[in-house]
Amino acid sequence: MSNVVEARFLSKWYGEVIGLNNFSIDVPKGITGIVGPNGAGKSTFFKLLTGNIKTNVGHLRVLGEEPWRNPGLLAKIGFCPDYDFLPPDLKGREYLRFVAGLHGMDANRTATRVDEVLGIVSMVKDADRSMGGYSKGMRQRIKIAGALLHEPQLLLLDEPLTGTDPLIRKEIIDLVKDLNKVHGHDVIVSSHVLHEIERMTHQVALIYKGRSVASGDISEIRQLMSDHPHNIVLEGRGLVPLAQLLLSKPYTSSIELRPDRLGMFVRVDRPEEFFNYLPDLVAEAGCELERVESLDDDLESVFRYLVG
Amino acid sequence: MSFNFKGLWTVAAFSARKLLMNRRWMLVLLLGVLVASVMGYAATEDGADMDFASDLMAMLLLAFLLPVLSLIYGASMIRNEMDDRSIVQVITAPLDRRISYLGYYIGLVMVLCLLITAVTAVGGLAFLMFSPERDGGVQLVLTFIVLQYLGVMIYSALFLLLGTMLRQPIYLGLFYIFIWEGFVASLPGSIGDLTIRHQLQSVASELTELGYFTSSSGDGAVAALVLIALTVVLVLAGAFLFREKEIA
Amino acid sequence: MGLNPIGYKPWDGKRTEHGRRFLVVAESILRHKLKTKWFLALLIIGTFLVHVMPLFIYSMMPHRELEAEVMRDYLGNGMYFIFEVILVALVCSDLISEDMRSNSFILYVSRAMGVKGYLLGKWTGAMVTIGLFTLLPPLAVAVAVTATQSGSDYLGSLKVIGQTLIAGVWSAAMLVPVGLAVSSLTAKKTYASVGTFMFFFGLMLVSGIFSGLSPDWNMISPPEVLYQSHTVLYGLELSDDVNRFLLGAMAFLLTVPPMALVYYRIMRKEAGK
Repeated sequence: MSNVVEARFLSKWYGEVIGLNNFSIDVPKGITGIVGPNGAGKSTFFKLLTGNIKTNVGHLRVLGEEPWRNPGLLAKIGFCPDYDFLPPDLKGREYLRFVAGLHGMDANRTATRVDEVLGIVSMVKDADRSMGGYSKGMRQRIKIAGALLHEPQLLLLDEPLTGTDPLIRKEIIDLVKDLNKVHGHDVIVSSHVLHEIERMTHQVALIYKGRSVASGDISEIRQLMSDHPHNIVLEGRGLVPLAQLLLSKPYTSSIELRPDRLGMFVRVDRPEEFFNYLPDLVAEAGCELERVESLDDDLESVFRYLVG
Repeated sequence: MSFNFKGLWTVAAFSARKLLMNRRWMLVLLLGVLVASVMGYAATEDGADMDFASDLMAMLLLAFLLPVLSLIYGASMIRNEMDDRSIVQVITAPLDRRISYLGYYIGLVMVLCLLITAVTAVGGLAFLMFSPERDGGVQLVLTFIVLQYLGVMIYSALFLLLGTMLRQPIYLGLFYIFIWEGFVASLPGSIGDLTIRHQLQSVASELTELGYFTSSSGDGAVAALVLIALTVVLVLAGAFLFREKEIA
Repeated sequence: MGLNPIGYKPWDGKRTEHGRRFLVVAESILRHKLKTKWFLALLIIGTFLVHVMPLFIYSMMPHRELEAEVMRDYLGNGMYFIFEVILVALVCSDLISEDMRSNSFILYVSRAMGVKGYLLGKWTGAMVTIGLFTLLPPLAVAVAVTATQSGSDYLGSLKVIGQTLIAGVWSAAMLVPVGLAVSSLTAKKTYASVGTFMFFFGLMLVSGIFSGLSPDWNMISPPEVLYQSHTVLYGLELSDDVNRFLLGAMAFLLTVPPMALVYYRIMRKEAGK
């Protein structure tokens, strides 16, 4: 089996709200990032993978099996949702023993395995404290520990970096990479921030408004961000000559000058070319630039461009 | 997939622990004090014999405390976990949801039996302490405890099902206890037979000759069978519903 | 697209007078409850079970005029009280508890309203909502009976209609404070509902147990207090075994201390405790 997940024409709706819309994806082994803005359908996809909900239309296979009403499959999947569900009055170790019990692990195996996963997520020191006193990063790590406990083949991590500070983010990113490289788990990890996923894997799939928009190597996605049209704002003095020069260039679609002549919006088809030639044009025009900013240098713009 | 007995026990034990660690025990303590005070005071009045004790316990415990505690704990057990999404741990474990539901039910019954035993024992002892007549008192208390265990099983099954089905199970539960069982069932005719309370009273009439149970209509053995059968049906219905439910 | 400078313009529209701002809270409560399925269902079922039959029976039975005893007994119906308690539990359970849970008092008291205005708004909203059951249908029955009377003493019937108005308001006023008080004691509205119910039914139960020993125990039963206070409001004679002091004390205890408790709870919550 080369793909851990195969989804074909999945649609899922909640009343009048569409969660997924004709969504198709093949997730290979290794680490795969699912990237999309909030409300794109990432969590809906994860809930379908774990059999929490069922598809309205379409076909889904996880590790070769249908997930809905298939508790046996859950022995091979470890799920770490994006929301907080940890009971505050339980200690970390007690929580893991609870999870071990749910998975039917016997007492001897439980004790050893709990120590092992606590070591993997670096929570040995704090395992005997109440989870109510844990920081956000510690809670994330305990959640991941709970997902790892039964040695699943596939790990599903839904937005594991949300709400964490940069130090914790780095730790979790390194942990995710180790989970695959060192411990051999396949991982599907979701986020709305491309560069966070980029630090974990090069294999990504983009999801937007419930639809699969693109999938492949992250460098191809990055290229899209450079290739699609950009709206760029320029502010400064003496912009009129610069505007005249820009209008003569083939990559410029349109220019809108502000009434006070101290700012303008430039729409360009090829942002890379624009930025490459801008310094020369500024020197030729003799203007003073105070601000240059692309309003579309983000993933949301890529999505809008791809979806059309 | 082999039967995950450990998983079933884990759900039962942890959900029972969650119910007991909740601040609701303060309410149970308050109710226990109320029951003890009322029964202790009633025992000091003239004519406070075992018949009176039986009627008192029937009113306080069977008709009020038992269904209300079952509602408070039963309706919120699965519903709270669905609302705060902590149920994700159970539904993403390799455990058939029907078995998980059974685990919740077992946990609920264990906790309610414990609480009811404590409150009944305290109330009964309070009466016996102040009553001049004590013959048969301990037997009466034990009879009520056993009767209430049967009541716990059926009420738990009913309210756990309501909690699984409805977003706001409390209101239907209150309607059932106070309108259906409390009021409609006291109307003339056989409509009163369609309540759990009536069936429990029929069972009680077989177990004791004290109090107004002696005038209860209906066969106790049949009533017990009906209650057990209804419990099984409600638990199975709840288990099936829980398996089919999409939990987002 | 162009750049627009951010400009702040102060609101120059109409502002509600300070003294009337509680009505904004009350109106939002009424609107919210009227969209709640459970409330509408129970209101309709309760109105049908409690008010529709008297409407037909009293109007169609031969009668000279609207009588105070008839209205008092109709409002003393056990189902009237039970449905009222259910509705109070349903309406009041989230009024304070939700604000406790989400700490949203700041929304109210950071405006020119204050805790008293907030409480008055909540109380008024609850009263108006409960009045849809305790006041409007009885008034409709009273008007229907008056309209179909054979006698000519319409003034006497109008007097009873007026008394019904007061009795309907009092029915709500007697129970709403307890509902609000229980709601202020918890952050979970379901516990508030159950707590409200248990408070009233607990009192009824204890009264039922001990009333055989002394009739004064009847006076701790809320439906009995309601019935006897309606007797007073309709200008009828209280029977000799009714302890007037206990009746007054219960009417006070069910209304004033609960509102004081709510006020205290909100002040503590505001202070961050």
